[in-house]
Amino acid sequence: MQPKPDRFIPALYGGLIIAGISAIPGLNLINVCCCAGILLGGFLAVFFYNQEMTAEMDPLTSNDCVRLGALAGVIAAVAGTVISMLVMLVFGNIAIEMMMRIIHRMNIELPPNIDEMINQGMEEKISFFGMVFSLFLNLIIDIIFSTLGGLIGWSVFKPKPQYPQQPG
Amino acid sequence: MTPRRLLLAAAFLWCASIVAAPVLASWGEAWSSAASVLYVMFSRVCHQMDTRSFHIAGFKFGVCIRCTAIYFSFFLGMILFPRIAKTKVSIIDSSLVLVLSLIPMGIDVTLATLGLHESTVFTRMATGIIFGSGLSVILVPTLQEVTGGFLSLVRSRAQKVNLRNLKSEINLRNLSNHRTIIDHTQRTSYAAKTR
Repeated sequence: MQPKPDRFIPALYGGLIIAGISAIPGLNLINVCCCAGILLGGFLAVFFYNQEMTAEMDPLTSNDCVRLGALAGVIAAVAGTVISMLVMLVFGNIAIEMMMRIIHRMNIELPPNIDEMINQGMEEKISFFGMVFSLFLNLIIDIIFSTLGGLIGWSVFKPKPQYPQQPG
Repeated sequence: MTPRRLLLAAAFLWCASIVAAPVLASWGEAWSSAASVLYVMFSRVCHQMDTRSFHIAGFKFGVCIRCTAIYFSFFLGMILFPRIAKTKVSIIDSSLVLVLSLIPMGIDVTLATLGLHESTVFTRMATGIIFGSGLSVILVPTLQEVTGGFLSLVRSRAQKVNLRNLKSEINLRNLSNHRTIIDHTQRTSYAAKTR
């Protein structure tokens, strides 16, 4: 039996996909549907790992998928926090600006307190504690949902049991 | 604790937190910070739009209607799983279940985004329930298997630690017994010499 492929590279791909989806304004709207982007990243990590496997290797196990999903989640949390900080540094609070533009285009009048809150949000600066808090929350959510994505991957890619063919 | 109970407890905690957010918020200033922690946590998984959420005492749930339907139907699927496992549903291919459960939600979201149809409370709930139920059929057996493996690993580690502690306790006891014997022999030989 050949040794199994390294888990890091498929998890890195999955993690970077999650980070890209979560941190890029506009694209992160995918996550509003029950973290679909994060689930997808965990699922894709298992898919990439499964692609690297050959018939001479031990079959894929649920343990592999849990580890791949969790690792992709950790990578995603760190990379996602860094990317969103960079986006905020370069472009400012672009997500709230986009939302405001849509609201203005649709001629929706916001209550004064909501308007004030949005303006406060647009003036928000990056703080160290804000970054640590964001990283902490990202770690919890990304690990949970990416592991679930990995488990969905296991349900889809697990080796199918081979039943003996009946004669005749 | 069995894997099933652990999973049910975790899923119950998640679903209870969704409802706890508006309940805590309605209890006044003292509880509002606890409610806001829950709202911030759930903001990572849902848009939390006021118009698309259920409300309790004027405060919205932690997540929107569709997400609430997904999580609660997943929890219900987890409770009913032993019965579902006995039916033919359990032998359907997982990828087929995943695709079939995703299609209604995909259609609802896509058509609403394109402005061809207006997504209503009913369509959001129905599509959420279908997806959550599908996910429970796919995920519950796998989750039980993985949690079972994790629990047995924890138990075997705990047994090893207990065994090590027991060994060291026995060693210590042996050592102290040995010392008492030595002390006793030293004392008797000293007494004999002085006599």
